[in-house]
Amino acid sequence: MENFKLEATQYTPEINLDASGVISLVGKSYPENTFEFYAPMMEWLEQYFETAPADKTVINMEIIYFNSSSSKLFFDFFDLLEENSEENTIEINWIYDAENESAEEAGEDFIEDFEDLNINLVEK
Amino acid sequence: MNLEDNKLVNELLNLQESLGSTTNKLIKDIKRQDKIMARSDKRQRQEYDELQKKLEEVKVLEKSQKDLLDSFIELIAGAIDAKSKYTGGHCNRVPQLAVKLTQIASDSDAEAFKDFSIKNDDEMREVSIASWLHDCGKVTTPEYVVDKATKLETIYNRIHEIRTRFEVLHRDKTIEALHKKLAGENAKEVDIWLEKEQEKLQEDFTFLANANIGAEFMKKEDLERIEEIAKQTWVRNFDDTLGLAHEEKQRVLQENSTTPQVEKILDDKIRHVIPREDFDYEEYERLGFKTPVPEVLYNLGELYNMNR
Repeated sequence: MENFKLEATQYTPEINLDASGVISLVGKSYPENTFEFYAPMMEWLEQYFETAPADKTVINMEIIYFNSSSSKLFFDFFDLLEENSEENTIEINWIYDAENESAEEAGEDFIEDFEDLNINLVEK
Repeated sequence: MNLEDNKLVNELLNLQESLGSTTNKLIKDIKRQDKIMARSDKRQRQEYDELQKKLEEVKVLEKSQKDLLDSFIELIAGAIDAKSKYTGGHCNRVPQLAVKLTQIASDSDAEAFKDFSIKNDDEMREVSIASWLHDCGKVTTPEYVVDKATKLETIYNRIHEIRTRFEVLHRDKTIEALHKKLAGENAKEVDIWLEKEQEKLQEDFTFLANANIGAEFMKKEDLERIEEIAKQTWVRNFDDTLGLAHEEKQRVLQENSTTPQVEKILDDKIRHVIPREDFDYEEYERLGFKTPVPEVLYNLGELYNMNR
């Protein structure tokens, strides 16, 4: 399966989807059309879990600023991970800056909502 | 219960189960949306507060930037005024008058000002800044050009004046020689004497002229020679208080100006000392300055300056 890569822009994060099992999102997320922007990533993930998931999938998310629709999309993203968490080993690192209170709180929300997912809060 | 009923019940149970899971999903979704909205509201409030705070900071910065600019403008104007005492705070007074006149012209109903009006504080500030800086070109114009007290005043190397004195002495020696001859002295001996005297004058002047250029440390014997040369005298027959500007005249008038007057080749006179006036020694001390303040503002003395 081919890797997927998107460079960061002023409004969107850098996205690296590596078929070896390392997935990373780094940067800001307030695209004009959030769901359209993330659609290729979601498709790639669905296909990844359907066809050739690695023994362990590590997800590193370091999103310093994000809008409400990105927040909604991350819930969907974690839903997708949760659906696949029984058959796969998935580890999620939610990385945030010590001064970034909203990023930390969002991470706490995700942990609360997704009891079956292994989410680590990683303070930088 | 027949088979048909059983099937119906099962379907109902299935429906109930699917309805339950959909309802749960919807409830979960609503809870999530609420959470997202609450977080979003909180952040929006923080961002707005932050923005307000920044706005206040920008206002303070803008004000201090304006103050800083004003201070620099006033510094430039103050420096120009300080350079030329004859204009008496001109750069300071012009802005006050300019702003007042502009306001009156702006308020006026007169025909001449019907198209003129100051629309806001920014425009008035422009007038004020322009008037503060109206003379700032003087900064680059040499003082002896922009601020001449008399027509012939300039920055001047007084070696020319001293050379003229030597020229006078040179002729005096020639006249003296002629007098000696008239008195019946031996003409040949007088000529030898004259040649020797005039040669000495040439040497003395050349020595002084060289010392005038030298920035090097002067030897003790050189200093002594300057003192010696300075003692030579010449006679002034013209009133040296004429053609002077007020301030210089006041200084010269403190000296004895009657003619004929015996003058030294190099001299330190009252006129050469520019007194330090209006200096606030108490304020200087209060501000903690430790450097001793020189007694006079400038000393232009001929011997005083040649002898360093």
